[in-house]
Amino acid sequence: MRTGTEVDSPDEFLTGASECDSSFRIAGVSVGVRGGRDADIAMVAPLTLFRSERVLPDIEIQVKWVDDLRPVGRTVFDSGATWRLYERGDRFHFDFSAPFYGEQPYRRLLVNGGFTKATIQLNASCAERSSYPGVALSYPLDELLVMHYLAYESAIELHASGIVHRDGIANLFVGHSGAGKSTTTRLWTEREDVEVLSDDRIIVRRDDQPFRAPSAALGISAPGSDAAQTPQLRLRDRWALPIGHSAQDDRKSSMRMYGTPWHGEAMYASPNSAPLARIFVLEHGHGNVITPLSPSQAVAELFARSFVPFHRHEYVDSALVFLEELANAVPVYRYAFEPDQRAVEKIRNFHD
Amino acid sequence: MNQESKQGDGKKLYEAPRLATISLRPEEAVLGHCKSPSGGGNSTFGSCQPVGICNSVGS
Repeated sequence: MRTGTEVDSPDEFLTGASECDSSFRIAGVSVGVRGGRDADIAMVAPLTLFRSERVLPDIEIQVKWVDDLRPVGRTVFDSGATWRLYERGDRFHFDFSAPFYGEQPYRRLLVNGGFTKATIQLNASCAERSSYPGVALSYPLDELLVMHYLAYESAIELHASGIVHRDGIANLFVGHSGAGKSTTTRLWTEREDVEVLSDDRIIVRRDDQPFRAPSAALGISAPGSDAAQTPQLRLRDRWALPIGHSAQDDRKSSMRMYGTPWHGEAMYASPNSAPLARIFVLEHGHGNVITPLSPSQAVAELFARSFVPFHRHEYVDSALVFLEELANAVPVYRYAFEPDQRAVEKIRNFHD
Repeated sequence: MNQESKQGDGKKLYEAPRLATISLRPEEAVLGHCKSPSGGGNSTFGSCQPVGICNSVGS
């Protein structure tokens, strides 16, 4: 075993022990994970829903244990609590820390500039002094990795609840924490048999993405699977289409929304997707008032509720360009609503 | 020139710029907080669960 500072050359990516492997796919982004033992590549419960068949991955990850993790590189960004980003040459590393573990990071994500090859280093010294098993793939590492990868694509991750009606109409309800995403999700699920792709994080991509063979949706609720053994997760996957579905018949929209593992309070997570019909920016209000937003208004409101790597202006520029495309492709409304069934009724009877 | 003639010329009417205030939540946007099963999906900024790591329930 070595220290984290020794494992920092590009050649170190994807080398070392790799007896175990697994794969998952989020919003069409396939991730392959390799490690020396099963525990190293274990997934937290929501992520198991996104397990996929082994394909040539978009992102390759190697999990390793190191004796310790020492500071290295130039600080680029500090999230303020859970992680920090450092830069060394053309590569990044993210250090994940917690007061419980003391000074050293308990986990480090080393990644190349394109976010296609990564190494996760688990700090053995942290594991020794706690019962924490050292899960490599858990929040926020998995979300940061996918979010950065998507910064190179025509895509955006939004703070939103995605709800698909059985007639195929897919509405996206965007909002900050406390804006009413979970409430909206509850109101819809109480009233109708809808599929909720996520109650907190939705990824929107242009609908002409080339996808590899569909696989992520397979075995979502298979008896005996990890997902089936997680009763608090709510799986409704009947009307949204598995990843890989051809978009040719989805003429209502040129944008598609995807569920993610990063669910909210209502705990909905689905690996499926649906063509996006409308976007509503949620806010509390009197009555249920729908107000169309101009593209420029929509871009500003959506940007404020999106997850973008802010440490590089190129990423921010790319996000704004895509949001403009999104705002021109899909109608965006402000929705000031009251938390009762009339709010759902209003949407159901609404026509653009 | 009245409004109708302007529209008839195919020119857009001048619209004065307006200042719009957008609510930003930096701590949410940068994933600078933990997700917890009881925290509405996003727990309070900087307050992780007792063991000090981000709760995996919210993945």
